[in-house]
Amino acid sequence: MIEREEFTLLLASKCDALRSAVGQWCDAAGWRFAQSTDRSSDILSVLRSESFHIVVVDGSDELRGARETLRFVEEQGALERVIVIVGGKGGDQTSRNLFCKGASDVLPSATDAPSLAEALNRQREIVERATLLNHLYRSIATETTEFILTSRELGSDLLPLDIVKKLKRCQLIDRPTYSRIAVAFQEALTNSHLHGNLELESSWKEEFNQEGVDKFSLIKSSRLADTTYSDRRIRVKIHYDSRKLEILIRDEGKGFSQHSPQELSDGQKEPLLLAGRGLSLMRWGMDEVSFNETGNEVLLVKHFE
Amino acid sequence: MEYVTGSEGNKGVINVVGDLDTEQAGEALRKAFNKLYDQGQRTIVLDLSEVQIINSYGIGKVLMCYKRLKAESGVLMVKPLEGFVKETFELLMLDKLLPVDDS
Repeated sequence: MIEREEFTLLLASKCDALRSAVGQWCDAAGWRFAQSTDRSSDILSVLRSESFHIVVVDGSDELRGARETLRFVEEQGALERVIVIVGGKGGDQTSRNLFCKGASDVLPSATDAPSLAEALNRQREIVERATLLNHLYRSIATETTEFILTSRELGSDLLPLDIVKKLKRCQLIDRPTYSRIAVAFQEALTNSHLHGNLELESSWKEEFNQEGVDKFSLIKSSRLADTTYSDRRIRVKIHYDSRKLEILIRDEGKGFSQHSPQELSDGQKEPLLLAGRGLSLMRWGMDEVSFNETGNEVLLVKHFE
Repeated sequence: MEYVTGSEGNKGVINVVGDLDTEQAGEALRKAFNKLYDQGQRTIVLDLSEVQIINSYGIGKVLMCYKRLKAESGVLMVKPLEGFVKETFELLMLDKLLPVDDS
């Protein structure tokens, strides 16, 4: 049986009416209620000492506290749901920016009780459901997913990396680690698809036609329409056990010389302008990156402690 | 997908929203850049403050913008970077190429 977790809410506000309203909501919901002022230094001090399930930040005076809270939550890869009260400031653009920064809900007013209660109830449902899922995800012993598809079927799409999202969600990995793994996977998949199966050369990105379109994009379009290239398959196998994540990607291209790929070296002083960034990003995100002899299969490995 | 463009003084600005990690995002950046470039802007600032993830797709398009401006003695700048995008730029030493516009 899953042990019931204590749910907690932090309210960052000086407003007595808001404190009273949120306090009553927490009592009714059986949640623990914590408070701070709306100053960013106070909020961050509390967040550094403890985690909360929901944070309500009153931005009626200024939005700095809200922005700092969102930045902190994003950098920590934390799971707090953040409700921001903008108090009538800024309009749609401000709300949009706050959502882009990770706000779960943006409310125009601190005194609109039905809207506040509705937002709190909505976030509570999300939190309680997510908490149950997190317990389940932490229990995953192994998971293997395999995709086999042609380059034409892949097109410009990204394949889902569900197991890694689950690991982030239950906080077995933090957000920066998740981002690096996701980018490493995208790079390896893109290399197999574009340089492997479609045999596109990076140097073609430097050549432009009169409309400002590069040769790489033009030839890519034509090769996706040519079954000689586009029917070539890509096999992706993603395997997780509690000690490691392995991603194997194999294409049906001719392979490449792995002995002289350009990538950043320790003594690198200049940025790579032409090619090699993908390999650097793969090695940055994963603990091991290795190729088969032909160069048409790559294995990415991330170890977990 | 479309990015909002504007101007700040004598600089063109592109506000990139969302992740710069797909062909669509790269294409949207190319179009926004071309729009300012065709208007005669030769100092262009990328605002990547709302970008969570960037990969080779996005970086390749950023570098395309950099090279086209450089060929005409122009400048590509970025608004102050943070988080994963900042780390990626530093890893690939793009922070040495693109000056920061913190005006």
